[in-house]
Amino acid sequence: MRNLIYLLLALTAFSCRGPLYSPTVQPRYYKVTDKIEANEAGPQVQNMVETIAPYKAQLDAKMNRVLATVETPLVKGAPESTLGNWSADLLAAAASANYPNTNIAFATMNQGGIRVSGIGAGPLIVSEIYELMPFDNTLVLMELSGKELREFISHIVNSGGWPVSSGLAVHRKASGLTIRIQGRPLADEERYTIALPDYVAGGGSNSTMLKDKERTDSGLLIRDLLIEYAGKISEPINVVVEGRRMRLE
Amino acid sequence: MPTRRFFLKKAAVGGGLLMLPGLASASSLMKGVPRLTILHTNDWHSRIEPFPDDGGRNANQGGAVRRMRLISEIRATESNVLLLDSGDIFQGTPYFNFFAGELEMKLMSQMGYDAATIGNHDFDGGMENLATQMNHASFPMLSANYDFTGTPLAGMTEPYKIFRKEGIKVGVFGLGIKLSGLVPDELFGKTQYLDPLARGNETARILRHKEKCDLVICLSHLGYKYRNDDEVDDIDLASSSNDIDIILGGHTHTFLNEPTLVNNQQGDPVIVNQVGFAGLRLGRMDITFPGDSKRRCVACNNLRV
Repeated sequence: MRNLIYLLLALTAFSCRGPLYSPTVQPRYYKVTDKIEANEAGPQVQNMVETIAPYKAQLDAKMNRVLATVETPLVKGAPESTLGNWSADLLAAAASANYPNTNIAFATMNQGGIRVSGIGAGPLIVSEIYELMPFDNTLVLMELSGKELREFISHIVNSGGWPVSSGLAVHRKASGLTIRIQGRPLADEERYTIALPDYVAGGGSNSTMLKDKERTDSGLLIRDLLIEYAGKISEPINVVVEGRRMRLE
Repeated sequence: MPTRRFFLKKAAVGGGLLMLPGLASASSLMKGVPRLTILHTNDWHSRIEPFPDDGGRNANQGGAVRRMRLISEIRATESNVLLLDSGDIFQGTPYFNFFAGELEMKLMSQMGYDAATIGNHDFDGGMENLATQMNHASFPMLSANYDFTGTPLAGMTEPYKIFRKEGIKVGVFGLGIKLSGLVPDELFGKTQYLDPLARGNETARILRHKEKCDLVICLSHLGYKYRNDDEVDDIDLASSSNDIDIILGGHTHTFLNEPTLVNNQQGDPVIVNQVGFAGLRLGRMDITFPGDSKRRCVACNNLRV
């Protein structure tokens, strides 16, 4: 009897009702904009502002340095874009400067590695490069046969096109892929050196064909290279896409 | 077994300001009816401050403090709030590069997040770093398909968590994306990726039938939908499921203006939603349980699913 009472008590405590039925859902979303600031803020909001403040102060000191001036906004896109071309050219310049005795066929980075949709006109500041390339990816040089390189370029093309520097010109037609490296047709037996992020060299973005290839690790952060080489640009930045690097029909 | 068919109400979608006129009266009309408010984000990618005001697409949008304002206003009118995140908390602004996710975790704790799942970019600082930053989090990280045995995250995550909200029992679990080919090998180390469909179904079955949850929510970082059939996405998860009610997704940064409904194995609709990225939006679902007798509606322009 006593046990039964305990059992009843336990049942009451843990299953005081049956399951709930017929859920009705009203979905919506809020856009997080400055309009929200018109509303009154409670102490929790103030606490958050205070939590952020010391972190923000440390960053602002480092991040607001002006590197160059953007005259025409840089916009990300595929297969070719102003932001993609500019970033890849900058990476190619940085790679060539760090390896002056190597002829670098071209530089590339995965499309997903560029993390902003664009950079607006005006002063280009350090934080914008951090947002463009937040990952701690490093510069890698990789020497490939023409045949191996063709396989990698096909992967780039099949992925919709990635940022590539001016050394590469790909034209995809119904009849197939035409690839030119620094103006000359890709030759299967020749050896080529490309500059790329360690992420891609390690097989990232499904670049499995590169995974176990021999590579030279510079150990240099791509982000730091972009900051350094953007800082050397003295002319206002105006990038025009001519559509010669990734012409996908 | 009574059907768990949802009514989905068409609501005026947010213009940013709170206090939609229908809301307060809706609550009072439904006195005594169990009511739960789910708030959700995904892929906020260290976007602590609003986007820079540079004329770009998202200029001056987003920001963690503004999100906190919204959340605290909603908490002021709703007593049963669950605040959830579907992963990729880390990476995207210098805050992550310099402070490794510490501030993100502190702010989410202050906002009162109840649970989050692990996105691929949450591995970016390595697993030891994620373990360290989780010490700053007052909420659990849920994953039902990453086996962290033998890694620094061993024992630090749970497959699911059950919340009791004034009579509503809610089971929440997490699912993560395949790491190989996406995250550098050395960052995920010995983490075992288990089939999300099998683990999802098994976990939801436990929550529905063993734990007797009224609502089963999956926090997914699988991605909304892929053209490629080999990759598991939220649509696949929903259609192959038996016991999941709601999938709150991430990874593909998909802005859905309203949730997608996908029929599960029983032909009942599963709600799939995602709110873009970078904290540009806060998703909200108000769920009421009017009971299995006569259905009552609040706004009365209901869409019968």
